[in-house]
Amino acid sequence: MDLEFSKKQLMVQKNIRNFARKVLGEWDHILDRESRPLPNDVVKLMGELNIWGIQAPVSMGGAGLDTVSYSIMIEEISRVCASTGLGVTVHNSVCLAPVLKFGTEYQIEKYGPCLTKGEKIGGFTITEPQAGSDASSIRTYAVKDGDNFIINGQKAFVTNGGTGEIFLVGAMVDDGSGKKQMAVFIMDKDMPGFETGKIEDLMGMRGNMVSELSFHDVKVPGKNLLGGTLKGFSMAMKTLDIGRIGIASQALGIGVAAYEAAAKYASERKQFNKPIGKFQAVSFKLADMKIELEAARLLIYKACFLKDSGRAFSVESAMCKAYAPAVAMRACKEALQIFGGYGYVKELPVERYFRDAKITEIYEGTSEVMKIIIGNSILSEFTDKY
Amino acid sequence: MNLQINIREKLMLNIIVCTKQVPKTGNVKVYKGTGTLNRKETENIINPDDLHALELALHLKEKYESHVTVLTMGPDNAEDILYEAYALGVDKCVLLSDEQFRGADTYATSLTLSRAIEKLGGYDIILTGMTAIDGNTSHVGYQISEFLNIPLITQINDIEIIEKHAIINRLYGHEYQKVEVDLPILLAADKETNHVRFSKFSDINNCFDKKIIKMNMEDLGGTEDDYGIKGSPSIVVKTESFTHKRQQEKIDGNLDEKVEQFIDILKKHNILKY
Amino acid sequence: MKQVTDIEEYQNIMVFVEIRDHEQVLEGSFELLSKARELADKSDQKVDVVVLGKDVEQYLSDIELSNPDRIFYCSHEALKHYDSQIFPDMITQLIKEHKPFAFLATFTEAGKDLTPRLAQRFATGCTSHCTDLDIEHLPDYGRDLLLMKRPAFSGNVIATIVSPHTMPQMATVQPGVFRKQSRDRINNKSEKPEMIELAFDYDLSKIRIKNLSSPTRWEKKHVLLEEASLIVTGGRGVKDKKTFKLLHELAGLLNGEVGATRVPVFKEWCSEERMIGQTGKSIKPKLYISFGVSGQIQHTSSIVDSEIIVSVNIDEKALISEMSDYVINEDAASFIKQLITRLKKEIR
Repeated sequence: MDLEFSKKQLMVQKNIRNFARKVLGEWDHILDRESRPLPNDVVKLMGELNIWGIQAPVSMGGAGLDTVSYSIMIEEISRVCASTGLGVTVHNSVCLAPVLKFGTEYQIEKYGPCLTKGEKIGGFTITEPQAGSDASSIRTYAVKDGDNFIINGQKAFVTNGGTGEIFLVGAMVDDGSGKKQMAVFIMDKDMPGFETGKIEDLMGMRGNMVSELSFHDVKVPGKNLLGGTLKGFSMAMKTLDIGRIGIASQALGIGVAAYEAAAKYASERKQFNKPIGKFQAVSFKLADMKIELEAARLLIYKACFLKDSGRAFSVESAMCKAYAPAVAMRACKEALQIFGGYGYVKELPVERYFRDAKITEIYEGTSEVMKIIIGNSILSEFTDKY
Repeated sequence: MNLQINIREKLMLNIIVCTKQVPKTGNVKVYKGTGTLNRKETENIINPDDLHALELALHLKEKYESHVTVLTMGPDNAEDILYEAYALGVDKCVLLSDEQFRGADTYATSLTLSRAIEKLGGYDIILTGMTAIDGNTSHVGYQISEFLNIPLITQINDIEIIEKHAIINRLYGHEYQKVEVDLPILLAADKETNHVRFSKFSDINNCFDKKIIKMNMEDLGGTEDDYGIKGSPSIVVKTESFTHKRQQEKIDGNLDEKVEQFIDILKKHNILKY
Repeated sequence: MKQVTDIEEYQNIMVFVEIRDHEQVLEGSFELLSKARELADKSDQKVDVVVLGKDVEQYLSDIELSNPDRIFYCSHEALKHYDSQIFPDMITQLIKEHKPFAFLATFTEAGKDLTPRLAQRFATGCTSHCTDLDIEHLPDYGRDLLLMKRPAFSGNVIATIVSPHTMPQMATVQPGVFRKQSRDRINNKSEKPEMIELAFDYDLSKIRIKNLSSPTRWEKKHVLLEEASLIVTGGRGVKDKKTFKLLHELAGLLNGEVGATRVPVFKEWCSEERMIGQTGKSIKPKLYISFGVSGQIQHTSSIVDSEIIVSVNIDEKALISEMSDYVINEDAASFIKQLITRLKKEIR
């Protein structure tokens, strides 16, 4: 059991940290202040560096790296710009990854390369205005029409909605026997009837163009049914398992940013003739942050390790998705407290970390749903089976 | 900084880049008193100016058909920087490593590098970083220029290679000069030269699969008196740790007197001439 | 390193005196000559000057005032600018002939090119941008040696270096390190230095770097604060927009840039890009001068890497004093105005 990064992972960390600091560092406050996306040339540069396909095969234009490297990348990006971290993790984990993992040969060939290179940005959507945690109550409907499906419906809170072109969409389909089940379709925003709705004015993650999507009799070719199967629900759940590692890494990045800012401030700011970090009330907050961030980190890497060795990782994924966002919220709250009045001022990034962190407890499965998953698995583990 | 990409020329340039692994001196840990480096606790990086040299080499590689070899003299773990060079896109990496090379001053270092360069042979352009952040001497470029008897150009703004000569726009003193030099040439780069690219993650993934060629004293020839401590004319007799404490010197007097004293300070620190 | 066989024959301190921008002798050269004189007197040696340039005769009387024993000079059109081939070749000849104990130059673009090249040719030690020089008898080597002190590891360590087995011992010195001694030779009883003119017989066809066009003067482009080597910053104590604008004039006189704390930016005395503070720039100039800046942590944490910090503030207890090298207790606005007036007289 090796708890250290490999040389390769260290190099990944150094490289992405450098990129985040030098390139994203010019934009993070602008994206937040103006609620706008990254400029196209930065998106393009990220594609050249394989950021949009870090785990995709090298032959497709990706980097073919392991999941810990992916987690490092999301963490380091999110440390500087959580909005970008969000866009990158959703694109990689819940759009590109399921296409490569579940897609038919046609789908992989058609969508794999352009997503991997970041030529097109991707998203994934199940949530609707009336259906959040209750995923099976979605009303988007796909009706078979010859070789195609006609899809109608509305999606809410779609990450990368404004900038994305390829979306994995969960829609209910009649399986022929009168029963409905959820299938996943690959939809392209150029399809007639596909409408991007208003961009949300958010509390945080304001650099991501989260929006509504609506589908008006959109004709989707049958070969865009993901994996060629109507049994989309389990694919969607497995997709979210992958995605949750990314969200946890994102939360970790935000938490680390808040912690480091607070630690630096506490060592410099003097009150009552000494640095405030010397007072236990403050140093204890920092100590708690350090403990929890490290624990969150190890939980994430455990999930990565299980995933990469081909083992089941749903529970571990839910665990790190339950824990890291909570840790991030605590770190942000206490960091802001340490900064005092200055923490409340928009001139410093601390208040933004606080605003960015909150959503990590909600999207891709709320902390509560995570605990349901974990709770259920505990019960089945401990229930004797006869 | 204005390096323009012209039409791809069909030149086969052989480029060698000299690099050095250095401690990250911003976080240097020294033993109090002796001031000798606590190497165990200090992180090692590729010398920042050398990254700019690599960037210039890679730029030339894109502009003209070129082969880029990276050379470094150091202990075995200096190969970390060579893998970094592979991850940036170079073609070949060579590690000059031998017990006898240890403790070399700039003269012995320049001699060792020059011999290795001559062994590799057939070079058109040699690149180095201007200054290393540990020694801070900037000697090596000039001394390699002497050993190999090729011209050194620094503070490069623009470079074009036409057949077997280079047209270079460079800063010299307070003036920009456009000069022409026949190959082979030696160029020294620093942070003014260019912005270093980021590595592609796919290149990071496969860089550790690439081979590093090792050369030792036997490969270079000569005797152990030529290299390392034995081959170094300079000897360090003392090192002291140095912490910069702000002196908080008060400047007193009436307004005129204070201004006068301030002007004196400007002169002392060479901001104003006497 | 094997000892050179004629090591005992090397005597006297040779100083390379540089002509700056074909206008005047480099100040650093005078500083170096003062130090060389001190070292020579201490060790009973002579000071030799080598000066190459165009029309150097006009500078000789000035160099004389620094009391060298001999001045080797050469005047030629080709020596107008420092050259990486001609200068080392000519001085190599001089060194071979006169065998100096030490060779010193100022750490300028010319000095940093010349000295390591010479050191390579004589396979001897060269120590660059020294902050101190001395001559001491070192028992380990049984001889008087030149002690050369310089910073290493980006300034975290000071190293003392010697070149005990080879000659000449070579060093370059930072300008501004040594004080130029008052050089009033009128009252001085020492003799006039010996002037030796060197013949110029260099084969110019050997020059490898050819100038293609006449050089163009480099116009200083607008420097980013992060890259500036001199910054003057105004804070609340500058009091108004009109006075803040004077900082631009001051910066122009000193060839520096203007920075600001939050107050001037919020009061719109200047644009946001001038702000130095936690979300603003992080800077590392050689000289940082603050006017009317109290020193709140958002600002001061961004200036810690400045080499020299001078603070001007009416409040002598201002926080920024704690991290200043020089503290001037004065009203910022008055000081700025007086300083500008005084500087204009100083700079012709």
